[in-house]
Amino acid sequence: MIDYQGEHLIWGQLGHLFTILSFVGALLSTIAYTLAHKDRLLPEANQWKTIARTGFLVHSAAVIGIIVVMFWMLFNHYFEFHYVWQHSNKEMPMQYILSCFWEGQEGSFLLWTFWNMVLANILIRIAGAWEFTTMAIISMVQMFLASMLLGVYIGDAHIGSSPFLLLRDHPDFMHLPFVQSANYLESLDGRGLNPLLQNWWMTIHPPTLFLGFSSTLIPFAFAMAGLWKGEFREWIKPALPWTFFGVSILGTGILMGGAWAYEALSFGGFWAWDPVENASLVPWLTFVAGGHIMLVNKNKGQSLLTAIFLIFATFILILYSTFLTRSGILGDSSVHAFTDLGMTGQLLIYLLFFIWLPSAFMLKSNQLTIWLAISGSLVVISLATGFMKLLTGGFLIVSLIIMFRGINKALPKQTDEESATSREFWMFVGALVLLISAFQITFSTSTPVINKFLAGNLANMFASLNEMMPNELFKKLSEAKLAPQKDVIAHYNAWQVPFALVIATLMGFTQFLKYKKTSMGEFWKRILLSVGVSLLLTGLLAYVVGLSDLMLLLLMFASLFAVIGNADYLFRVLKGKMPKAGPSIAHIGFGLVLLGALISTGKQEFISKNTSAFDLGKDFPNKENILLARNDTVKMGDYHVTYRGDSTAGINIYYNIDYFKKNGQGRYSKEFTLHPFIQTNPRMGNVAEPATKHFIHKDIFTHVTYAKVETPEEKVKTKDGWQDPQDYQLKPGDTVFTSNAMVILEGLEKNVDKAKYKLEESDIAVGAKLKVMGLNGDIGSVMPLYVIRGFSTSSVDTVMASKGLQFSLWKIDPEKETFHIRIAEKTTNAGDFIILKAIVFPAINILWIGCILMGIGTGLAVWNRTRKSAKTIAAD
Amino acid sequence: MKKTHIIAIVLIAVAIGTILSTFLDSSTYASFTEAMETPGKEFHVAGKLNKVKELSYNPEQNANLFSFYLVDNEGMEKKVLFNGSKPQDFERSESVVITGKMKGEEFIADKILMKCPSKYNDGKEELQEFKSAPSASL
Repeated sequence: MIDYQGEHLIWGQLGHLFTILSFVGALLSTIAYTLAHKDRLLPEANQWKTIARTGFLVHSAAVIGIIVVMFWMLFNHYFEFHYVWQHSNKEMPMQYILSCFWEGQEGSFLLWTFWNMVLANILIRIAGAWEFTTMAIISMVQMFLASMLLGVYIGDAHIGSSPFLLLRDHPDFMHLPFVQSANYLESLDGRGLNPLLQNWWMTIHPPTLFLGFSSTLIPFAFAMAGLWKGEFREWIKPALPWTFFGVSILGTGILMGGAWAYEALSFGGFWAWDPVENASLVPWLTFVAGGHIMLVNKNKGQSLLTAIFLIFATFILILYSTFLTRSGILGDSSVHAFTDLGMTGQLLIYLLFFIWLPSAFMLKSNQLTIWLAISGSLVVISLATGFMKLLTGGFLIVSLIIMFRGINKALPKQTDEESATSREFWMFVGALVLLISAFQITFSTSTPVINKFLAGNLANMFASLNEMMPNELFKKLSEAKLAPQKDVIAHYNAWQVPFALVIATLMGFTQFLKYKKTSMGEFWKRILLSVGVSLLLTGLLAYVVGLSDLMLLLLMFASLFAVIGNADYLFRVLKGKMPKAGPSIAHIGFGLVLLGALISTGKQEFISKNTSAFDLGKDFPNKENILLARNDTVKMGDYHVTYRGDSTAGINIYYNIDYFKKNGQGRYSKEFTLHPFIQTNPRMGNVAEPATKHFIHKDIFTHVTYAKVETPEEKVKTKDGWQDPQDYQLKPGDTVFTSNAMVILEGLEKNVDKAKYKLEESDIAVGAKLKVMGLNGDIGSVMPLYVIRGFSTSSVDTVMASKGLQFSLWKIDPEKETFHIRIAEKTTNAGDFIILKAIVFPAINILWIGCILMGIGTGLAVWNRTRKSAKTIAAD
Repeated sequence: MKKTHIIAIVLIAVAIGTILSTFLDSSTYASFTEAMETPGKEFHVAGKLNKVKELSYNPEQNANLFSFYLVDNEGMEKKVLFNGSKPQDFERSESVVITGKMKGEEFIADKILMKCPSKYNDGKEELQEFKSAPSASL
């Protein structure tokens, strides 16, 4: 045994103890709440309730305990713990300690658990008759989440991954020599937080997003409780404020992610249809749909099955997205998925369990026993045989069918059809469009999962089908090697733009309809004005931004119609009354988000076109990057830009780029300076970060795509001085290249202005007229002189400071008619350039304004609903 | 026919459409051999950078041309031309996925996804994506 020095093992043990307590507390709470519900009519219920609440209290305290211990460890740099070593280091500023906390998988699970716990504690106080069942569901979820942190090893397999694992016990390190020395801690520093994540977005985005994730749990718990208790409709009313709270928070979280990507990462946009982004967007879509159908049901009693399904699907999609991003299955297709911690199986089991759960609620006790037996044996068979995937698929489908049939049977038959002129009918259609939109994104994002599912039996089946009927589809399925789409963004947009179009139209259109039935005369009278105004605005706006694509024009009209229609509703029907204005404001916001997104991406323009004289032909038509040599002025879009050089601050190298505009007198005046930068990190690699100039009507988004990054020592060495000069023998018309320019000998100048060069009258002087063309097409001219004074010759050199070039004409060979020209370059010339990408995003502020309005609107709606339900409780 | 039936049919049709488009739009993971069999068709090729051979990038001449040699998972080596700037730290990459097509003996890539020794979070390696072509408009 090695007697390790300086370790703080007690904290790890304490943390581990809390982890186990949080699991046990949640387990106890699940069982006790279930029994309390079972005995709800008996006096024992109260005892069970006390036990259950105590269990949940223990769980809550333990979760807080884990968090406190982890912060303590991070704060004190206890690098003997793997998590601390991996996510922090000594130099890191303390304000990023929160980011370290949730940078890793374990920390983010903990964040999720924490928010669930907070919401559940609020729910316990206000749930009343719903407490037993909803809390039983929530405790179950908490139990599963807590187990993700257990880190219990059974042979090679493990349940959960503990954040309290010692570095020297970690499989990657336990055999390394350094952990064999007793005082290994003395010289140990952590690996540190990725510099990219060292910004305030990382502090606010994950907690918001995870609160959004957590908020889907409460409506899910209510819906499941409804099935469990057989109160299929009653759950909707108490769940509504929670639902819109979740819509608001989850939406904010997603948009923050977009804003972060736009402001601080060099993606070149706010949305890239990356699998991880999609994984959070999809549940939001179904959540929004679910919330609206819940409203329909509350008001009119219809579409209950759809409401239950959408709320169920939302939570399942949250679990599925967790599975996608954390199982490592996205490995080859996403830029920012978590890496595999070996918990794929565990994640999959949880996902399957919660899909299975409602089917268990829908069966009577005798059927339930059979179903449990079948499910159990299916799991065993699927594990034991090679048909695991098919059986799992079948099992899921059967579970869903049981759920649907059960609910359908329990509901009263709906005899009268909804009128096509009723608001609820079109809200229902809208919800379905959102659902299909979510489906499309999920399915396309799932290609890695589909590959896994196809590989083997199914692929063979498609292979033989392909032999019978050869076609592209069967061929692809038989290979089971589906890669991401050729053009990912175009693929998603091809579907999502039309979906957005329909949604926006419905958002405007339904404002003119009433629940039940609408009188058509009035409907037309009112809607025509809005349609007219929207058409007019579309025409105007399309003209101003120069939009001509038909699909985008339609979308522009639809989103403007959504804005105008809702504004009309806000002022005409609600007369601007604030408490009720929430939905209208949120709708206006959503319309503006669509409008801003379609203009800014539809009309985005790369102004950093490569205008160099060197064109590599039609194989490389792509011109997005521009080369900026230091102090060269280059035309870029409406601007002339000059790269002034770089400056270093901390780990960042800032590239200072001035933007000029020609004013009325034809002079250049400096408009602004941008400082895109490169974050240097020898251990993790350099990262380019953008700089954006914000105007009211557009943004100029720039980032350095290439720069030679030198260490400070290298810089000092080469700051001044000249490189070895190069000699050239040129005839008029000849061209030579320097590192940053093209030099052409135009000819001989015999009439040299001697006074200017301070030469004597008797001197004979000739000049070589040189044209210097910068790589970006700028032209200058210089003239080095060759002077004969009596019997001696000399040369008058010329320095072109802007290019760092020195020219001298040191010999003229009359026989060969050649000029001997010597060119020296500044040492800083080589590599003293950067490559820049610059994109103009017009009207992007409309998008951000829309985001803010959506936040305000949904917030207002939640406030109004809670206020109302508080009132009804008071009235009771 | 009831309205709900019409809606259901439309819904199913659209769903089938999205499924088919996912399959048909998707590219295929392949080796250089397979990519050479159908030149001009787009593939994703995974492999490793040949660090011994030259990485060529001369931004003074063309900021949008970068070339290197990639050894695919079957061991075949091809020259790859990427029409974009050289990704920062490309030399450090451990494995690379390129998207593009064969043209003669060269692979013309318009996307590079590289795995580097971990940069973000807890992983052992880290992915970064570099695109050349302008992102399609919305």
